[in-house]
Amino acid sequence: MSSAIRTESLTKRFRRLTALSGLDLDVPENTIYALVGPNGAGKTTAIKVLMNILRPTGGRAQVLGMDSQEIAGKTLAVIGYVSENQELPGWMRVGAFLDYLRPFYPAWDRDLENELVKQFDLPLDRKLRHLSRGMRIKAALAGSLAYHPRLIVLDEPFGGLDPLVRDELIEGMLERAAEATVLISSHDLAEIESFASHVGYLDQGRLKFSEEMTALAGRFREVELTLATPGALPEKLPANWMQASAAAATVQFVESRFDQERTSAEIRQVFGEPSNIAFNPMSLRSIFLAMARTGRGPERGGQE
Amino acid sequence: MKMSQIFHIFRKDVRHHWIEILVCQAALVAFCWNEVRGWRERIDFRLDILSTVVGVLLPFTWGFLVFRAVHSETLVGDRQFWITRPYEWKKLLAEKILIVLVFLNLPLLIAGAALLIKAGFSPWPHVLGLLWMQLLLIQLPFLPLMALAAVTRNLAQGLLALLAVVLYMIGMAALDGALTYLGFPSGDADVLQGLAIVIVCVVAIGLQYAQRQTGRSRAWLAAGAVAAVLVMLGNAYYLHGKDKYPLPAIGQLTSFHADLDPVHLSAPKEPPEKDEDVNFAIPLRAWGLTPDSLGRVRGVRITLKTPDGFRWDSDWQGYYSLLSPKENHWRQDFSMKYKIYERLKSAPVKARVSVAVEVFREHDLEVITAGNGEFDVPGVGRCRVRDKDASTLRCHSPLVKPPTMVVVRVDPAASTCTGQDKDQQTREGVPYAWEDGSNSNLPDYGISPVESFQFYFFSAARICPGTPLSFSFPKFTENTRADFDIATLNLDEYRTSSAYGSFVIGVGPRRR
Repeated sequence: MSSAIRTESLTKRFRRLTALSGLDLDVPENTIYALVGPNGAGKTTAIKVLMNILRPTGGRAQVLGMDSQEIAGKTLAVIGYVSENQELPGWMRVGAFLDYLRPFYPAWDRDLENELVKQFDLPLDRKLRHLSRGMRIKAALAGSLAYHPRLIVLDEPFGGLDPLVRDELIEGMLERAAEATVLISSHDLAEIESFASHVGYLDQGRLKFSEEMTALAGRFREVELTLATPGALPEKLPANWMQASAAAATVQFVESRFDQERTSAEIRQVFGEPSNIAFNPMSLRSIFLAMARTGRGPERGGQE
Repeated sequence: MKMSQIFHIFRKDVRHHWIEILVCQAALVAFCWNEVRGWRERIDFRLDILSTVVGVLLPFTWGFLVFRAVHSETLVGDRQFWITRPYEWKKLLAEKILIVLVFLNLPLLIAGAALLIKAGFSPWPHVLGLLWMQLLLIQLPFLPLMALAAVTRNLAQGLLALLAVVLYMIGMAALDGALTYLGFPSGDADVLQGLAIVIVCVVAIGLQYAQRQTGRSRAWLAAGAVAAVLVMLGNAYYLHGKDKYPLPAIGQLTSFHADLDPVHLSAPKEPPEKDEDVNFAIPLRAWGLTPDSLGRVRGVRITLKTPDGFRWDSDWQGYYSLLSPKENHWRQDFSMKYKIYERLKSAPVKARVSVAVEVFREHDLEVITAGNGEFDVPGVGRCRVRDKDASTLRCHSPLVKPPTMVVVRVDPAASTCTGQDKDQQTREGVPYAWEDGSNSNLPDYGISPVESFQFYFFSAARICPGTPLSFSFPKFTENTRADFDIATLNLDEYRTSSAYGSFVIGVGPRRR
């Protein structure tokens, strides 16, 4: 699968602050790639560098086969970008905003525009500055989808939105995702989980891992053991066990390289034969919480 | 994009900024109205305030429009929606330039043509001059305004930057004054500084639009400001020690000479104030001018030297005076610090006086009869006699003043004025008034292409409809200088109570 976005050792420094530190990112074409991570992880900076809003300090980035620093003018006619803190021309009415954008895009689809306006329930005669935050994002998204972009970049689009608006946005985006690559940054992991095909975890400007969502969900399990006799946790545990804790005869940990046979063998090797073993699937949120609390990424399957 | 991107953005900006555009045009109309009003008669105090308001308002509205238009697609920051849209920077820049051309330059061009028509001139022969004036306005202030707008985020930031520029200009003026005070000549480096402004602004604007590198663009502008200071200092240093009006070369024949006028001056009895400058005046006399020659005094300098070697130099003092073979006496004022006066007054000092003049020869005499209202004066423009005093001729020229000096003479015997007017003509000789030439065929900075100036007859000349006026356009013949020494000069004898500009009374030899 070819890449819609690929970065190599991408670095961005703001004076003494390193926002991106040797980022190697690969977003396959026609995927929905979720870039997640805590606040200040460098998600927005990474997107701004990819969109040539900021210039990288080092490394390189390719977007749709172009060097990111060449992204300007006509090349933006195939990229849709929506950000939570984007400044829209507030004095324009929604209808005038769409009218204004239309001639910039040779591939603008008037029917699609009408569909999006209807779907998002956009009030065409209201000024952008008078719209709610959700409506503004929807207007921006409508103005970014109506020309069938090859790449849709969404920077924290759901922040502070009510669930209804979020659903409308996701629905609107997913309907067009089939023909485009979507890169979305968010820390709303519950929402991402429902539609992202790939996920990358960014922390302190470094990509801790990047992989398919199904693979990620498959290799993380919350393990709960009931031991025959209560006892303390051994000092040395397998490196792929995270957040291990013991209470009486119950031991809990997060397995980041889950394979039922191998994990069971490791458990037996450490604890002997437990009276009960439960392998519980984890939500994306639980996985990231576990990783954030452990302060590390998984040892296998992702990019370190 | 079917419709050109430039016009698409332009249409959006016009729709968004129609109020700013309207305000600009209204201010321009007010300016033109005030300008025409000022031609008619001397503006009274109330109207003078209005002139100031209109004069300040117009550039302010320009800045307002330029800032607002450029900030529509602000270049500072990383959150603007347009930077992720398919804008082409060259077209965006072209659109902003189009705004300036259409809503600032074009109305100014039209206003210029309208003012010319109102002043009685056809604008068609002056189209190139009008375009030149627009080019100058682009250089200053439109280009710097665009550069400031390009490196600021919003109107508030823009106004702060503008304030910084105003403070900088005040600083530059203060530096210029300080250099002059310290004895450095105030050189004319306008061309170099103008070129620096254009280069710096163009680079800053280009950098911002092409790459949105605000830090670099701001650094460029700051470097330009520093460069302008360095040009000023460098120029002063370069000119320091060079004589502003050099002596004629050895062997060069010159028709102008000067010496001390042996008239007796009565010095004030009161001693000078210790905390004030002391004024004194040296009576001078010119000789050697041929009968058809005129001498335009450009500067006078006096150097005083005491027996113990102390030296004081007045530096060149400008002077507004026209000398002729018969009207050749004048007084030159100087002032010095009280402490220096104290040191120089007690003993006779040696003095060296230098007089720099431009010598002209009378040329192209033409007699024009003063009309009732405005009348044409070939080579000058259109003139009218000021109704109130009948001793001032107010003229308008299209684009520039006449390039050469103009001298007007009124023969009192031929005056058509009657009654009291006639009675006031008591002086002997032919009263005359004059105006320096512009020395250029290109118009200077300005909004109005109508140059206004007046010939004021210092003597009681009276001009009424039907009075013949003799116009002369003297031709420049040479720049020269006359130096002479005064063996002993008692400074106290030449002290005056206050500095005043003494003018040669405009009475010349009677001409027939």
